[in-house]
Amino acid sequence: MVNKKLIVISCAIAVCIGFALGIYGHLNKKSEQMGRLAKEANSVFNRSHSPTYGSSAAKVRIVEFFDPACETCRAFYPLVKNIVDSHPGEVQLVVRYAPFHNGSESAVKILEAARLQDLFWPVTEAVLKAQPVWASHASPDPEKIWGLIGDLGLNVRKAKEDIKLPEMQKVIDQDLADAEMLKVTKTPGFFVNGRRLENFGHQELKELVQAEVSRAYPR
Amino acid sequence: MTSKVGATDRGWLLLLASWLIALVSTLGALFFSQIMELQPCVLCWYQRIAMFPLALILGIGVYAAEPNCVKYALPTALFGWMVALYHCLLYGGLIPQDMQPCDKSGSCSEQELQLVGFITIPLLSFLAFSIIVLLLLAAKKALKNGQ
Repeated sequence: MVNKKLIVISCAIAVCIGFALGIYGHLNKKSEQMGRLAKEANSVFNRSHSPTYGSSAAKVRIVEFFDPACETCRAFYPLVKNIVDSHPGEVQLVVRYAPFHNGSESAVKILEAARLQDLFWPVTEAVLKAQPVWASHASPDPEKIWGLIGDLGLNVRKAKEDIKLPEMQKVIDQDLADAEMLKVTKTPGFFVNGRRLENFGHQELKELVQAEVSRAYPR
Repeated sequence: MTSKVGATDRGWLLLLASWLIALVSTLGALFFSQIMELQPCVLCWYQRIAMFPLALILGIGVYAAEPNCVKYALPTALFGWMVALYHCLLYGGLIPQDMQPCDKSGSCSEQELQLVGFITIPLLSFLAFSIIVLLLLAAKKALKNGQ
């Protein structure tokens, strides 16, 4: 009779421990699975169509879900570039599009058109620099981009034809589908070797990259 | 003196077993929705509405060795059992598709998870409610005889 309460409490504790172990096991399995997917050349993290920056032999891959009209993406652009540059050959950036803002899709198509002319990075830089002009929240106008990027050697006439290609929309649709799959609802959304940047911030991203670099390149 | 495993203790053990099943089922349901992120459909919710309180009512009843908890637990379990039965029939295709009360939150007849072969979440739910109902009926009888 005395022991009844004790039995109930022990049972509750045992069940809770089992539950906690189950959660732990499941999350472990999931993060391993994500890590494996992130290594693949064509997965929910890296599509073969995605622009990259840094060595393709790098063992650490930052996947950034990027919106050219997003202010924080603009602020992060030099920071992310810096992180890649500070680990030469070890870190690669993969850019995925997440055009959540109005007018972003047109801007993405301009970037993709520039990529066909090998001008992705200079044009992206110029588009971000001019972001406050063409991407004001009240009246975004990506058409303005053409006049804002300056003379980077872009064949504008060809680019204006290229943005109509169906492949452009396909790239955006695929990236948006992957963003949804990975539950990316805000930009920039970062994953490093399949691990999500849980607490957003520059320092946090640096630390996550550093942790993955240390793991991939033990010294 | 040998410990008295009389009728009342037998009733209590049956209650304990039914509570453990309700507790494991509750945590299991939470695991599916919160950890595995499977969206519970409407019918799943009706079963949850019955299962979650069972974990509490039976837990309190068994802790306090309160035989009266069967009065509250049994109808709750029976309600959940009926919904689970309906859900299993729907899953098995024995009730036509257009009868299902579903909305955007997830289709009730779409099989999201088959654990081992034929075992589905509604089947697990049905089994859990069935065992709880049987245990509670047995406990009720044992407790009555013991008093």
